[in-house]
Amino acid sequence: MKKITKRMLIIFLSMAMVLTLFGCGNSTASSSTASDKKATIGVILYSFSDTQGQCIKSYCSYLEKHFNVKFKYADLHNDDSLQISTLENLISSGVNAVISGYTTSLPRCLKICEENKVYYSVALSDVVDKNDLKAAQESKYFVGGIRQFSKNPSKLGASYADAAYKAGLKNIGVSSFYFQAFLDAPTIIKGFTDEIAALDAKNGTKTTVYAPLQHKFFGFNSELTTYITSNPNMDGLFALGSGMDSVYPVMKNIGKTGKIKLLCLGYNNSSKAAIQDGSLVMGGNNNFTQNIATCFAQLYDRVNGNSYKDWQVNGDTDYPTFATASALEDYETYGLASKNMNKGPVTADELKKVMKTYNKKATWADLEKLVTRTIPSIKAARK
Amino acid sequence: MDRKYMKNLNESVQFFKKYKSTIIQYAGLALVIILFSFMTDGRLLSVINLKMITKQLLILFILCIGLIFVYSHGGFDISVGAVLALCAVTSTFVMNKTGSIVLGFIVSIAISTVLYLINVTIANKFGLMSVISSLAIMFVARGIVELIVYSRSTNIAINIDASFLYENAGLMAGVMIVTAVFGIIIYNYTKFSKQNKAIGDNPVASMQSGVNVEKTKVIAYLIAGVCVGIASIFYVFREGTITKTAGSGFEMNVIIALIMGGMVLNGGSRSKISSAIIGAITFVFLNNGLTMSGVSVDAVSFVKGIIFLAIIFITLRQSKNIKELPR
Repeated sequence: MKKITKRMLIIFLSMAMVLTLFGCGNSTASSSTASDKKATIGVILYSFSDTQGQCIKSYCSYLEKHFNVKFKYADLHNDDSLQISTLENLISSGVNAVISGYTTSLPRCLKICEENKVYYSVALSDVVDKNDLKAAQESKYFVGGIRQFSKNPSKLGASYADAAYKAGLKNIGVSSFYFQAFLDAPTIIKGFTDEIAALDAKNGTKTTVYAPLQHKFFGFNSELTTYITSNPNMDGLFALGSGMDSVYPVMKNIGKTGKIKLLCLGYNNSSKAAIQDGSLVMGGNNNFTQNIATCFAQLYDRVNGNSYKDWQVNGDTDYPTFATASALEDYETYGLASKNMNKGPVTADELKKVMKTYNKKATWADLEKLVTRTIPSIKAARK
Repeated sequence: MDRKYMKNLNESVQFFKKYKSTIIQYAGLALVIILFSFMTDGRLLSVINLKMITKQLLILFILCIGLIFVYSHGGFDISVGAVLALCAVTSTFVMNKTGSIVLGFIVSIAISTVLYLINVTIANKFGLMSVISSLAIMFVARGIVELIVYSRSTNIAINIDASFLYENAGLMAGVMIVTAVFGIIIYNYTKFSKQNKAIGDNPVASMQSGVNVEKTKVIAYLIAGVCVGIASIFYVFREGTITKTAGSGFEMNVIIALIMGGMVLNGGSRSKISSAIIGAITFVFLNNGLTMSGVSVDAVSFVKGIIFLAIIFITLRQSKNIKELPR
């Protein structure tokens, strides 16, 4: 009996594996534009299971329906060491362009791309490190990086300061990923503190901003708890390191949600409830669709032998913020647009107008203008 | 005619029974290659892909060869990724400063062997399980790497132009062959290795038979340390840039590769060096094939898990047929 059970189990496992392989491996996409050269684009991200990954996959599926393109996804499972192997595997599978989330091992990746004539872009980071920048500028196959917070991160910090001040917060903590890993953090924090100081000076008030806590990506619960408990008067926390995903749960665990109001970079399914019950004063998130739109447009053009004359290494996209339930709803409808991409930040028709493959007069500046629109301007365009 | 047929059949069955574990080991690799060759329309075995596989294989291959000596006596190591990262960071500084790759190798091997010696010394002297001591080493090494990485405003990147170390697939294949030959000789033809495997079967019986258990374990960790040190230099040149998560996946990758190669993690006389060789190759082909064949990212972990489970079931089935000494 035991033997039979074991054999059945082995047969079941084998069948499940084979079915999964074939079921998932044979997925095909429809494409509406047959005259263009087919682009097969690999997408490498740390993870596809979070809001970011889901939003990116959703927009890629939309693009597959409107362009002659097929996307192949590869998950790094948050392991930088897999970047090069994953790129190699995607190239072996026949991709002619790649969108990478970050600049991990960029010089090596570009070298591999040059050897194999594959175009490469970075969707969630700009190229700033001097070795990376040198490699990017010298490579014919590098298509671009993206500044996450536009050219003026301090302005973003100031907008959070305005929200904090408006909410009446008087003792505000600041937490962030290590500045070495989050290069824009010091500028955002400076914009925040400068604006608070300016508002205090203007209104004759006194607001304290504590020295920032820098922490790792994971496993910083005790550091954050100590930071909060050692500043007992804290009534607000400006969380720059994935605030909703990592800081909000810690505050919930130690019973501080609501008592310490959160201002955070980041969005997830808890944002709506948090903003409604007042524990979240202001949130924000990347406009991932814009990021992918600009990468895709340039890669698709390059595959089809087109490029912009006014091209620059790093482009921009918008960083939407929301301080009210209705603003959050607008972000979900016109920013994430998971239910209806035609209401989203960049539709296929809009994109074609700024792509060289479809419009010979198109410029990189036109593309930039399209992918840096704010949520209110996208909303206006959809009406 | 019938008698001849029956005789042949009987001989075939006997042959299979005798070499069952080896057949299963190679059949796993063959299955992965055949399945993914079919699913990728033969591109799996294209020249360009085989070159890429060679490049991807090198580091894991050297690590598996080194660490099989630890696993053969029943040891367990989860510090390999962190040790590799620390060696990579320090050797990058040394090579950038001196311009000498040889010095980089020396420093990397020295640091790695020292850490592995500390690891085995803690386990030996305090009677700790080897996994606990390796956990301590992992935290220390990873902590130092993070401190160094976070203390700098720029990426830690190698400035020496030694493209042959990461571009030349022929050289990499050569390094793997040399490593494998050394591994096979030490593993199969030395007294140390026989004693090492005997400890895996039964440490008390080995000690009573005159085996110096502590010394044997130290030699095994020393070999592992040398291999990790060598692998870290290839890692530096392959990645070009060292990040805080450098090497973080190798702890599990080595274990999975060894199990895929048919390694019994308790060690002992059934351990074979071919587990490291075949396991590493199977692991890399599997990862490569999964990406190439376009298996959904949501299903990759599931498929890996199924394959892993299937191999464990097969391994369990065969181990029941072998009588073991009381431990």
